[in-house]
Amino acid sequence: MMPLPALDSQRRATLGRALNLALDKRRQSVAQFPDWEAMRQRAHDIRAGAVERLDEYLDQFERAATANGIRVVRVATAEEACRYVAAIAKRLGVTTAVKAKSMVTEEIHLNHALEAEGIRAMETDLGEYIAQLCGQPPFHLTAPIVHLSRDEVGRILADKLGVPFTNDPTRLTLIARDVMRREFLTARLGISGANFCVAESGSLMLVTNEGNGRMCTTLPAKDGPRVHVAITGIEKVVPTLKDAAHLLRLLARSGSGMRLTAYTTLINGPRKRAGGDESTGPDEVHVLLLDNGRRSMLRDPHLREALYCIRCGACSNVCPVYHRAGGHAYQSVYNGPIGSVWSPALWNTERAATLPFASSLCGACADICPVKIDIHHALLWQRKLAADRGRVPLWQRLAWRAWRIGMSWPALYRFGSAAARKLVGPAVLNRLAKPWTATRDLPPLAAKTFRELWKEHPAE
Amino acid sequence: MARILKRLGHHVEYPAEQTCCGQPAFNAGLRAEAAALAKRFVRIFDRFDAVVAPSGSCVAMVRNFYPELLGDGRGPARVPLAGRTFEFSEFLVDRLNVTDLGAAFNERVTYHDSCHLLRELRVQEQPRRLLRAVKGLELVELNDGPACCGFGGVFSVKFPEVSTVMAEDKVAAIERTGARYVVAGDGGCLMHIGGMLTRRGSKVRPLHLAELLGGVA
Repeated sequence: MMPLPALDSQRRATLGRALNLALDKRRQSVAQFPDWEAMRQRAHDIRAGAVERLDEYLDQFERAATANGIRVVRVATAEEACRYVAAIAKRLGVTTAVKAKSMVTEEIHLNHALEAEGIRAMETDLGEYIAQLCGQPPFHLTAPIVHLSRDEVGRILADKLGVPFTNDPTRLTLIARDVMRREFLTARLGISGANFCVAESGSLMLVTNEGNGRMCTTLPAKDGPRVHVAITGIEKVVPTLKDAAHLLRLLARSGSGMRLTAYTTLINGPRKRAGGDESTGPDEVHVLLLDNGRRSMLRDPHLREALYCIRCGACSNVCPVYHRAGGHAYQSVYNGPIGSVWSPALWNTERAATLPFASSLCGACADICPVKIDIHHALLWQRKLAADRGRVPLWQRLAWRAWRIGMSWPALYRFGSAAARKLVGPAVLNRLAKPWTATRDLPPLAAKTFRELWKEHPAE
Repeated sequence: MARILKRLGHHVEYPAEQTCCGQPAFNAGLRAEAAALAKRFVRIFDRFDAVVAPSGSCVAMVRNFYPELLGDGRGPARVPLAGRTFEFSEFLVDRLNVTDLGAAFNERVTYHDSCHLLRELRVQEQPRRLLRAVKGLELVELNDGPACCGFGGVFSVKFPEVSTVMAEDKVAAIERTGARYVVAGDGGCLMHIGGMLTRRGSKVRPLHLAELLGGVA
């Protein structure tokens, strides 16, 4: 098992304030619905229906989107997806792309891949932009710099952009906006994810809070063709616009307590040229539907439910482990409880295999999930898969076997407990239990076991 | 617990050959080891009308996870014993309709919701009703979530840093209530919280609900 360090107490306090504020606002927002549970159940059913008949809805989406003039491409791997985007950039002859926030592009490490081809991908979500400025991956599914204070953000902008220091959020936003506007006005390649792909209409739904998603996907540049590439996972398809609208009601509320994100963008295709009535919008829209391990989750009935995730981030907000360790400790693009279910399915690494174990299984994640994913039970299943794949070291497996044998023979069990109490003694036990006793005491050993007491006075 | 159940007129047996329900191995991902102990558990306890345990997580293991664990891979197994296995407080309140055991305890007490009790068994009100019926007892609510104490079985030794901070925050929340005792329905949580309380030199003492109700404290 690889360790999961805790944040220092000051960072925990900064993070905790932000996460608890989101939880408080969520609580108030949810309380306005007399039947939030029924809304969750409906959201669960919508996602279950979509995932159970995934290929059908993907085909329907592809047909409808293609009819709208969108190019739909199925990509199996991260490399394939990155190559596709790089090829578009080369064809356009651009060296800069503007990006709306997208976890899937983080998953495939698109920015690095583009950089290797001499293309600079600029993040335009404010939090993501600041994370990019300091070379950090996003800390949280929906809030990339939730762990930073206003002062820290001010110092980063002052350092990296050479502007005077301020910690005023409005002025900080205006500084970033100045930089971004220039890019938006000249960019010819816009990259985004998609929150939902609507099968019946072939549309993409994109939610942002800063309008940057709209800027990235409408691209008001004048010289040369303009292209929008959306990259999303195959699981993001939903059957109808009505379904997407329902999920929208739970998405922002669960993550931040907002009723809706500030901008909800529905993209139905490239700029229409026939009538000449659309002056803005890209000349081409490409949608990349990425597998990258998702089909392995689809095939496993215990993991399939994890594909229902709408990436609201609520499970991280409520997770006691996430609160203490923070997003970067997971060392995985997808962090927090749902991230620990996803990561081992996407990446066959020791780090990813460790994550399902880095949970006390308290179940707060499953209780808050707006689409009712049994997150902590999926973590248990991932632990089983890790053991099946030999990720549990041999000595541990042997220790568990010995433990099971001891537990199967009452005489052995009694001998073991007597030996521990009488022969080994508390001093040695305390040393053996170092990871525990370094910070916590062990209770004193009882003079007699319950079994012995019961023998003397049954139920007295 | 046995004494209370006996006092209520029930015939209580303690099968001496019992050991463990298998939960630790199950949580470690080693389901074959867990299944061996689960089968053993069912064999030993199947002859009883009801199995009562002073532990939410052991009961959650039997009730919620045995069917999956003992299934044949195509679906969950039918485990009738799962429906007859109860946590102590839910057995008293829901099955026996008893809330007042005539206990007295002149202390300020707070109650820690153990995660498996709260979220696997949905037992939340039962222990509180039992506590409110205790004469002289003042119940003060913890105002922290309800958050996990950070025990989580082997989690506490595999990830000691995070687990420790969780326990520290739990103990801080307990101390803010001004209670003299923290009561819970799971030995794991009590061992963890208690270990942090004594390490920090706190005056607060951990106490199992059954100890309090049975007048052992």
